[in-house]
Amino acid sequence: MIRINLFDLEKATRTIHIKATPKRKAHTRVIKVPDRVENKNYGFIKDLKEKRESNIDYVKRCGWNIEDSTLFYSGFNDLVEAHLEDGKIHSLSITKKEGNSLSVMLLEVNPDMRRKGYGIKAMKDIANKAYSSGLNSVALNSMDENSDKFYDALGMKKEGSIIFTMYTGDKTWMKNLMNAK
Amino acid sequence: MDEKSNECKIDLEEAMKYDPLVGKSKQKGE
Repeated sequence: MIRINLFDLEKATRTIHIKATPKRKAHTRVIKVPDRVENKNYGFIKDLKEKRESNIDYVKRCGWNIEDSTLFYSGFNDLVEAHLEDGKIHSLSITKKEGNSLSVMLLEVNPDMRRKGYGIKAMKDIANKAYSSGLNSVALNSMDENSDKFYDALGMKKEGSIIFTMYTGDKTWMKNLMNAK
Repeated sequence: MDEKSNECKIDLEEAMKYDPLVGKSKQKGE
């Protein structure tokens, strides 16, 4: 025969109810999503911008010089990633995973911030993204001689040239670049 | 890339003199 003490059962039920209340409150705090990501220096502009802000308004607010840009002056789609310092966009890029490689489709330094080493910071971000994603290489097509000199100085491997010059960097290169000071 | 040692030499001081540009530019207004 099983005896059930209804008084104890009621106490237990009350206890569970009291314990559950703070848990529910804590859970509510955890799932609350902030309107924008704070203290992030590299990411998709769609994730960095304010909720109701357009992509183009965001890049303008963060100091991107649309007027003088060669590649990023319109059509800021959700694939565009921003590289920031102190809330200002120093570079914009689009990368794409292709097999075991991260291809840099577009990359440009803010026309207002050139020759200050921001290209290096952008490439460090990209190398870090590829390395932390477990990819084996970074690949890109350099557009002009000025860019060729940049990628030569960064130690990337020149793979060949038809219209553009193709460069690659393997895992060792990624690690070396990430640690370079 | 140093072909002999197979190590990539990174010269940040030299890299700072240039800016990277990757991709195909379109004529504005296209």
